[in-house]
Amino acid sequence: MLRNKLVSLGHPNPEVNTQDMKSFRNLIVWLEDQHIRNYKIEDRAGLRKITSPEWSKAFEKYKEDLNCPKELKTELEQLKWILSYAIKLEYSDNLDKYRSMTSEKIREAEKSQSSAPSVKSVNPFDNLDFTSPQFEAGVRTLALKLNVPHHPDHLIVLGAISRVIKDNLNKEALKISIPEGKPFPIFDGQGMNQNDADIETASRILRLLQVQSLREIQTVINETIVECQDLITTEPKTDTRLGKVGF
Amino acid sequence: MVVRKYEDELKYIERISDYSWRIKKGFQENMNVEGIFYVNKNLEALMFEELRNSCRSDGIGGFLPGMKQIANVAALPGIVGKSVGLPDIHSGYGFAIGNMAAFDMNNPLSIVSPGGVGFDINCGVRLLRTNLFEKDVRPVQEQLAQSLFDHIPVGVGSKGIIPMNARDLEEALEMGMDWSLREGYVWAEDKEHCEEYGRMLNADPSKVSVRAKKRGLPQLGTLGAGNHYAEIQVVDEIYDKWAASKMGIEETGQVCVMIHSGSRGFGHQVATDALVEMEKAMKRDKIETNDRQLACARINSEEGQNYLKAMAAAGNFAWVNRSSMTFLTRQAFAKQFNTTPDDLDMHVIYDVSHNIAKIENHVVDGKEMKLLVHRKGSTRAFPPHHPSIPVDYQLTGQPVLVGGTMGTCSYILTGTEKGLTETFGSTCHGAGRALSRAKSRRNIDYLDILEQMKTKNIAIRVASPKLVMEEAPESYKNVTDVVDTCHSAGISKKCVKLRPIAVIKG
Amino acid sequence: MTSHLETTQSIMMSTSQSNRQDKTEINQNECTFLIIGGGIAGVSCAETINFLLPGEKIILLTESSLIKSVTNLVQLGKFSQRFDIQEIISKDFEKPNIKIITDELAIIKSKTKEAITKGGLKINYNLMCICTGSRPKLVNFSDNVKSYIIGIRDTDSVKEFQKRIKTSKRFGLIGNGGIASEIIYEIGNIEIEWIIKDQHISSTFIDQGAAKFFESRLNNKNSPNNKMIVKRMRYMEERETSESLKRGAALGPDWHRLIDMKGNLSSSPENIKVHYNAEVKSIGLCTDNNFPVCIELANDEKVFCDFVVSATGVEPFKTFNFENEVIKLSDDGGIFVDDLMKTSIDSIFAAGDVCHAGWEHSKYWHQMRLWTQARQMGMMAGKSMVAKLNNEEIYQDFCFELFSHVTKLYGYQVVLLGRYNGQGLEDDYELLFRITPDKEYIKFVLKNGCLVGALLIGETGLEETCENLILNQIDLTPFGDDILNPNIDIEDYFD
Repeated sequence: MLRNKLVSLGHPNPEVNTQDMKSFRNLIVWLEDQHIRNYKIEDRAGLRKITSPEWSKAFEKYKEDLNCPKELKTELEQLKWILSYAIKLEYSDNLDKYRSMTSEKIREAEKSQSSAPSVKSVNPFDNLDFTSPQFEAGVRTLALKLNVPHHPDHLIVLGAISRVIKDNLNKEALKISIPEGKPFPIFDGQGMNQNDADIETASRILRLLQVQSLREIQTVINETIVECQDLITTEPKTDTRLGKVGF
Repeated sequence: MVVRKYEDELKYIERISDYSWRIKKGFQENMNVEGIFYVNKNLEALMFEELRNSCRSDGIGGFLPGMKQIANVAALPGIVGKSVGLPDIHSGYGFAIGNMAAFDMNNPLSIVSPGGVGFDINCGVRLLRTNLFEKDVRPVQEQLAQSLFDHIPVGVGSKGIIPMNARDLEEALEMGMDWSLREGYVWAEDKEHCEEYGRMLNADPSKVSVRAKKRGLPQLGTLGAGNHYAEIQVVDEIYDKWAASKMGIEETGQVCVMIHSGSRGFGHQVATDALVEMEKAMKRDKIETNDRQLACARINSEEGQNYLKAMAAAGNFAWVNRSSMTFLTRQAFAKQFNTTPDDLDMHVIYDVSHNIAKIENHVVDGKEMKLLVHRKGSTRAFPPHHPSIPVDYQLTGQPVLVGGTMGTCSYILTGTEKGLTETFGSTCHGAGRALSRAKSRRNIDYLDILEQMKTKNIAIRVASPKLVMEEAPESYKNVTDVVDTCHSAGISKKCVKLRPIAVIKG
Repeated sequence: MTSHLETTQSIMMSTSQSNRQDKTEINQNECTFLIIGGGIAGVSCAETINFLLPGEKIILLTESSLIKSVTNLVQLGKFSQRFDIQEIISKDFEKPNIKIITDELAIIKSKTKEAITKGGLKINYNLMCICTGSRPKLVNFSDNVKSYIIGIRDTDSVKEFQKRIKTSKRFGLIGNGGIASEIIYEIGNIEIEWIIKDQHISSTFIDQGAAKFFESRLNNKNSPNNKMIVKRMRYMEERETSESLKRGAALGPDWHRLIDMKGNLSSSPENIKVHYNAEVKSIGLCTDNNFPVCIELANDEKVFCDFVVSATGVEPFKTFNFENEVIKLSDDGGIFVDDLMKTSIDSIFAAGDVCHAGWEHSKYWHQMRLWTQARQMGMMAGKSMVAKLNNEEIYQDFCFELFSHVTKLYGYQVVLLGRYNGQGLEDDYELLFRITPDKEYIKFVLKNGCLVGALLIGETGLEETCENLILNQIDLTPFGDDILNPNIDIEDYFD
């Protein structure tokens, strides 16, 4: 119950341990700060000094000022009362908003919320129909322009186009001049021993891609080694000015 | 060793193609597989001449001819495929230099042999490119050579150059190029262009003797360099423009720096320690070989494993060496041209190992097998798309750096598919050197003097070159012949030719 | 052939100032490391300490205002190296933490770690290294001939020598080591009577066969082609004040380069007479001859000359004393040191010619009082002292595993490795030769089929291979004589 009340008041940590003196005192300060606002800000100083030995006095006075019933002996009972008081204040402040709320309505509201998130999208693609013939035709044209091979599923083609643009047409990539000369004779030399010509071609392409990714890995390895060298190697002990032997 | 007349020996040698010959079983005893060697017309003459000479010397003592060494390796337990001789093959300890052989890891009898790796473990070559051209370097050639000389004759831990104490060494043995990276001597990018990324992960410094470590530590007052050397080279010819550009080589005249070095005394000690251990293991496991120099142990034996771990540590040591030299080369260039190594684009094109044994997967007779591949005086040459090569060379194939003898041309080749299937992805490593021009003649005058020296009853001998050998007019193997043979046989492909403009020897 | 570019350069230096005026300041000297002697061992020691512990206070006490620094190291193998010695004025070597004091050590109070100099200075030290080197052993002579006998060892004596040859026709040379050999090769226009106790020349380093190899060089040494161009740093001391110094540190290789060693005889093709197997009985004055000096040999032969050069080797040199302490010495008078160059007295180390290598030697190493070893010991001592200060454990350096020395004799590079003369093998060894007249002379010393020593004359390129073969102890029996077959590059075979 305590938890529900805290949730409804929007406490950041509804699981707060009220047995812990520090948490308890913090919670009282929070309730005063956020909801009850019985004091002016400057008058809340006594309550805020939660580590001070004077805090209990301030709390006594606070309860008195709120008219907390003196019959409530334990701090937990007192807390519960103060919580309920804060909720009462919240409700009365927003009477119009809460009046129409019934448990039934809330349940309904929850239902509708989960089925259709009412996020208003700003992405224009969200309004596109990816299956429309018009869209597909557009993808095909683009593919033709960028030399992306045909695939029955135009969405896969779209994925490929996206990679081409991202990898080859970004600012950095565009700076690199296109290599001249003969392309690598991918069909010469040792093959992959595949009987099917297409599979053979594909394997050869994969092999080239593998070389490329190996190069990337090797570069990362080299960079790592250089970092390590910077970390642990000071300058070599060698003094080459001593190249001439004999001091 | 089987001793026959030359004519009878020839019955076991059969031409396969213009560039390769088969050595049939029976040429030496107990051959498990056949041998193969790659030669062109010029090299062929030298190979057969060498065999003929050995027949004349009754087959006793001396150096075994390359063909016999290939055949003896073919008789080792667990060998698969063929015992392969590359065009620059020449006599070496146990295995010929330029011989590669692979052993089945799943065969419990398979062996590992230090002779199949060599003494200078992970001796190799590294090539740095620059964005300089010959015209930039020519005017300052002398100063640059001097500057490099001041910097370069330094391996690991030269006094005052790259300091290294016992603990550093221990770490370097375990970490290889990662140690150089950690200490800030090299660039992160260098690592990716190194075989094994410049670190053998199975290295275990605890399997390396204290004596080896002491021998590896920089000696007091030495530069610790000796056989290391560097060459400033210019691109002389580009055969494969596309592959070259992948390596950052765009035009002829571009300047590169080639660094040669290995593990030296350290590797020697590791190999020597292993040979001693293995002789005992051979007795225990009753392993027999055709040549005492082919001391070996089962891969899975303690001796075998210890050797592989110690060898890996020596491999790491060599990478640290080449990395240190890389650092110093960059410093020297930056100082000369008053800029930074970065601005000179001094990237490592590649770093190859010549003397090493590695575990690799290969397809043998249609079946994938895990093999221990010994390459001695032989370079790994993997084709495009092989998973073990750096991503930058996935499309071109692995660069193979072939250093000529000091002062002659060098080449960059690339690995091929054919090489992978025929030679377990192996090719030549440089010019063959063991057969050298007859350098000297003993002089009869001295016999009297030396005779006089026998006063103390000390046995005295005078080296007597076999006269026949002296007839061979030019028994030096030319690096161009070697490279052309590999190219024509298809086991690797010519890409770039480099010529030296300055040699800096430690 | 060395491909590196060396610059010919002479360094002229003048030493005019004396340090004495700083006396009061020096009196308060205190240091962590005190090094006695500015020769190769001392300077190498100081350099090593300064490299390992930059900034730590070092005092170098030297009798000369010139000290030696190694330059132009040429690495031949992993262990063999050729280097040049450059004499630099000691002030130039000074760094904020390195103080050089020109004075002579008198007393060491090891109990209180104090050193007192002849000039009366007191230096407090933590660790000390004695590198006072050696002095030539002079042949016995009577006092009245003293002025006719010179030893060649330091810059002063060279100057004296130079002066003498200008005014003489003939001199006697006693000794058969490196310096004697160089004098013979370098000097012209004067007659030389060379008295050697052995059957052949230059016996310290080479055998009879090699001596024969050199003979042709000796006989026509004046032909221009024979003098190789040696581009190295050279030094010369130009002394302004006669007072400045009495003793310098020992000479370095190439000591004769800048010195005009021509006598005043216009031409004398056959000017060297070698007396083999000869021993000096006495040296005396004579009046009945054209020459003032007479050397009498054991076989009663008499040799007449203008003056005598004694180059018969060196002995450890020390003129200081210990207070209430005795340091362990060897029979040859050298200070006994262990494998880490420690003497018998705590916190005192020794290196170079003054010490005796008292540890159990590796099979292929022996002590010889040479530049190479002075340098190696100096550095080892430096390393060892730093380790002691830091309480670290270190190994003895691997260079003491294998004897190696590189020198130049008669214009050839000579590399000595291991037991190059079969030292200590008691005739139980084999020798294998390859000789090309006027080009190379290679000798392998083999025991039980393994290489234990080598003598390499000329540009053989075999240094590192030989080092490895000795250290690896690979059985070379299967190769027989072929191991030196000139058609095989063995350096490649064992790659």
